[in-house]
Amino acid sequence: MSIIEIENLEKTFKVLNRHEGLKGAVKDLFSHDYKYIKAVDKISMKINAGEIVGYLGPNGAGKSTTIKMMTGVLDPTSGHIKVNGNIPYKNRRINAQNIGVVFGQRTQLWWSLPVIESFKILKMIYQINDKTYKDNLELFDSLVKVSSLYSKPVRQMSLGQRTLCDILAAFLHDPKVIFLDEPTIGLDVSIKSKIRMLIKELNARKNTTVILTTHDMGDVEALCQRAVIIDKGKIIFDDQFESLKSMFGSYRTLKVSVDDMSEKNINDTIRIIESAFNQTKALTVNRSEDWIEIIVDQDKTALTDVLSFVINNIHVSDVKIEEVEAESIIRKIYEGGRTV
Amino acid sequence: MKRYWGLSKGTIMESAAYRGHYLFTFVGNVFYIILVYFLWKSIYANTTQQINGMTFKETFMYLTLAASIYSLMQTWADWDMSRSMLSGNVVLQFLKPTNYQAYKLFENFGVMVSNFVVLFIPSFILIVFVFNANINVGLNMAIFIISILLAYLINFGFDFIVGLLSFYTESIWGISMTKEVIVLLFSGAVVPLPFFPEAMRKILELLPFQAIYNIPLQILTNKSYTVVDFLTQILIQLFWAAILIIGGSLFLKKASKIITVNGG
Repeated sequence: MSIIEIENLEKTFKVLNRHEGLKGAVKDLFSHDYKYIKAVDKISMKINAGEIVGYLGPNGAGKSTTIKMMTGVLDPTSGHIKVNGNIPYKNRRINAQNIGVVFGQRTQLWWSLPVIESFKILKMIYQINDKTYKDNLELFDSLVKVSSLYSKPVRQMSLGQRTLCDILAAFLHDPKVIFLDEPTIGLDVSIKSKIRMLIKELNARKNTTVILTTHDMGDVEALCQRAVIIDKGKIIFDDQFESLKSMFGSYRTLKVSVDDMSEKNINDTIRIIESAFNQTKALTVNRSEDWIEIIVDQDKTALTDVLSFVINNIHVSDVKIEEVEAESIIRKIYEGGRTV
Repeated sequence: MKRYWGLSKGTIMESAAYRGHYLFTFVGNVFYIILVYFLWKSIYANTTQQINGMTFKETFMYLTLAASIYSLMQTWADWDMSRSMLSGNVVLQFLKPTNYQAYKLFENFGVMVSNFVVLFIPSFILIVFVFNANINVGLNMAIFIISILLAYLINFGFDFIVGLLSFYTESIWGISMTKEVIVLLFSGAVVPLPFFPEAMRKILELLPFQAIYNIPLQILTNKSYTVVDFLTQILIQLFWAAILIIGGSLFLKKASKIITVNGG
């Protein structure tokens, strides 16, 4: 059964064309020169109860706009949307009772109060009954051992502790749908994995539907069975995560920096690497700012081979290995001509 | 209704976390009282009589009590709304199963309660005992509390509307300052109403501003007030509170389009 139904949803923003400079700023005061920007362009999707869906896309693709429409704080320009049987923008308050939202960049906790006080305030705002409240606190503690944090004022917390508490706060009233907007942004690896585990467990135990937006493919890999990718307001991919993984899973980015960053030396280095792996066509080598970026197709050649070649043949000052970013996958989807 | 008490409780606790703020505000108030004393002392220097029907002592009491009420009313709802609009945090409040106006009212009510305990009561005690004010003690005290609550509603009504204006202007300083000056001047908080020219005073008495300062002050200090006077004054306050709160909620319907249509 679908808990979220979206059909031909569209959102257009009216933006003033700004002019440059002081003269332009004065002109803008009286200007009626507007342009219309389609942030979300006729998207449709259905999400089932209990699913964890990764909602991905580059910055400005329309992710947050869609989420804001699902949560009822933004009116769609046209199209239909239903969350848990409600039309969010018409019944904002009823909808709000059934959803939870976490913005990685913001906190809904009270800044100078101990977390537990924020929880008590939320208990009143959402009219959570004593038993649910108590059971949830026990559950939270059994999952992530947070009770020692409860007496700490939020402003003294690390970003990781705060995000953890923010996620718990969003789950406190047993919402049917949770929206997580970049919950792991700026966090270190250990807290990231803790948060992933927490989301996964809460989803499993409470059958909460989770909509997760992120730039971190690690989040998607750890949590989502399904991925939806949006770019320029349109959905360009909506399928099992596995099929997405097959597209990027075998790629890794190896970044190398050399001492001599002159144009000539870099071009020489790129040529050396390219020619060494020429016949296999396993590499694409580019310069990206201060790094030489080597995208390695691991199906064709082992990353370790490339790495050892680079270290043995080039005077390297630094090396890092990265997963391919969501942005590159989107580029690949375009190149591959794959659409939904 | 029950949903909202938590918010008041939260702001009371949050206020308590900033003790230093209160200490300095209180010291500031004491300085203001001293300033008022010397200023009006010099105005009254050439006369031992009343000016505009008020003796020095009456004027001084009136203005220092007004200053205490002023410290009570400073809950910064308009600044708060403007700040959360600019930072985008306003979305979080719209994501709650609550009415935004009520959310803000109860949140700021908590600040008012803290102000009452930490600023108003000490100032009041100072004025009554150190400066030896004679305040009637009796029924008027109870009515004064009701009157202060209504005054707060009216004050919040103004703050809320000004806060909503900041949704359009994206800045608050200018409008908030203008509001502040208008309220303080027209309400009798810096110059007692009897000092205004007759015609102007008549107009001011028809405006909502005097319901914030003048009415509670009259209830507290005017010895000639009868029960009928009390009731009339409270009704006037109720009237303005209703107008401003309803006005604010109508304006909210329009202003929230800024968020729901333009995305905040």
